[in-house]
Amino acid sequence: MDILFIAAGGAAGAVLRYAAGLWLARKEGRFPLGALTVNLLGSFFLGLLAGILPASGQTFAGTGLLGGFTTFSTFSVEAALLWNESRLSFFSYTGITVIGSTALFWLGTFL
Amino acid sequence: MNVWYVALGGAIGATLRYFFSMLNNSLFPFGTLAINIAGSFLLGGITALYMTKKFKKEQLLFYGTGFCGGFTTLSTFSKETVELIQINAVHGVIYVMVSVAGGIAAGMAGLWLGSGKKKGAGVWTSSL
Repeated sequence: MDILFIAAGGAAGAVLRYAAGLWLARKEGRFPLGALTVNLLGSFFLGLLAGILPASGQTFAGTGLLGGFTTFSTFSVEAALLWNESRLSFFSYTGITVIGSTALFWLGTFL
Repeated sequence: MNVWYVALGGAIGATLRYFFSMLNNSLFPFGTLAINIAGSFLLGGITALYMTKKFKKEQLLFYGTGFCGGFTTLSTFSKETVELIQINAVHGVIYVMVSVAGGIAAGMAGLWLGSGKKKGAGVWTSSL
């Protein structure tokens, strides 16, 4: 039963991420705002949900929806591409993603 | 139509992540770490194949945006980092360093292999 919730949540999360990516499409030489936005938002909401939802809700919303919404692979590949474009952008992108998402998760658990 | 490629890939990726997450234990989230590094490598390869026109847009959306995106996760990574730091700060820092350095190195390796081992394969602007 859990599997169905995770598959449905993962599908919905991935589609929302795709929509956010189209909306915040990366222009040449610019910062990858799409992946940054979904990762920061998704981490914040996971923190928020951790305190309020029962275990079954966490499977759908946490593992499925927010797991599918956020993405580590796009973060890595964007960073790998930025490495050759601008070291300043590389370090700001990785720093903001990692510090921002953990801080926002932590903040979410208090709200 | 594009949305369905992303949805199906995302559903498969998230389900597979659920099984891999069973490798996590209370000391260290090995499952998530393996997922994120493997997914970064795959997406690097897929991105390079798309950039060199060996992959169609639909294939990028299904395998890349859908599958790799749904398989890997940054929200769970943030959660585990906070939980690890609260138990043992050193483990937390190690987890972040290995995930980030490993993920980016895997992404670079995937880009390089997917582009047919071309030098400077990372200079494209991505369209992820």
